[in-house]
Amino acid sequence: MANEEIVKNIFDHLQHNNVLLSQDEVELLLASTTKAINNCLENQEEVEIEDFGNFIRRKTTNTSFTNFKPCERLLERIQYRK
Amino acid sequence: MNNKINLSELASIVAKQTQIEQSLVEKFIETFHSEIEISLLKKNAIKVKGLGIFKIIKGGASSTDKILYLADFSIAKDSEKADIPVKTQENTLNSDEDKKLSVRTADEAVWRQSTQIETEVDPSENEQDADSDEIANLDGHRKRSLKNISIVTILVIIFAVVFYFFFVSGNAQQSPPNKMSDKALLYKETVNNDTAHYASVIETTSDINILRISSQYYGNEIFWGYIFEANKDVINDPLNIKKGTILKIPKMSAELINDANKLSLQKAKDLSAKILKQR
Repeated sequence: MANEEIVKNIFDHLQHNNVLLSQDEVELLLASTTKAINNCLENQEEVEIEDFGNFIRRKTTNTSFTNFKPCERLLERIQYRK
Repeated sequence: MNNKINLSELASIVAKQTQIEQSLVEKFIETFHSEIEISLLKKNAIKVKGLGIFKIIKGGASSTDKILYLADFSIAKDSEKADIPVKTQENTLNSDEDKKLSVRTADEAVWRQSTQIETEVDPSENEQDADSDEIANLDGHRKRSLKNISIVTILVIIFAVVFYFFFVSGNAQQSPPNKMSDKALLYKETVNNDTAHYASVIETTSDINILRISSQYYGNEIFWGYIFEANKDVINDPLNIKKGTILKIPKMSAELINDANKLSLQKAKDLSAKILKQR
């Protein structure tokens, strides 16, 4: 899914819930959020998104590996999605 | 790992950068991750530029499905080249018009950077793309492996079936005819009332050559004369004994029917010659 489509879906969803953000602001927030997550990970910080999962970046001397650990609820939802 | 950044803290950082109210940012972040979840459930995979790829990997019958995450490092790398011109507390603008202009500027800068990421050719990024492609083709590889295994299994089964028919069944067909079954086809043994003189009494079940009976009972057809002598009252043609004829097979001493003994053979030949001369 391209980010444009994600932006549109988020915008529609927020509008539906009376959250007054313009599409430009949603675009900006998306870019800023992804950048903020990356910056936190770069600083060896774990990013915990409640009810979604945790992003962790592990660094060795030569490599860097980012791991995502989904929360239990998300895993259960995936198991019973059919 | 130093510490954890939770949703509120992340929202606070983003709010500072974008000058958007923190509560709105929190709602945005929740909705953003909810959108990822919905797309994952619908399409099994989602790519978020700047964050990464999320993909559901089917665990099979014995294990559970898992989420595979492949990070997108492009934003992090790009940020080293140029920072996003976001607003800070120090340079906050007062008028609504200025705010709007500032947001647009920051926004444009972000997307300009995204465009640069797409156009710049960096070997390490290509490596990252290759990894993404590999993950995207994971299902395809699995299917191909399964297909190959199926083909090999089918070939083995076909080979086993062919082997069975050609060798096992073939050998069964090529095995020498059973003497007992041959005997059953040509004649059957009946009641022998004179076991002192006859080894057996038989009734032919089809037209038969006396040589064959000799071969059967004495081990060599050359001894047919002994059978003929014992049955000359019922045999018209030794080479074609009619069906239903009762034949007595005389008991012979082992020496007389020993085909390794020249004297026995000579004696049998003489007898045969004598019979044929008489006819």
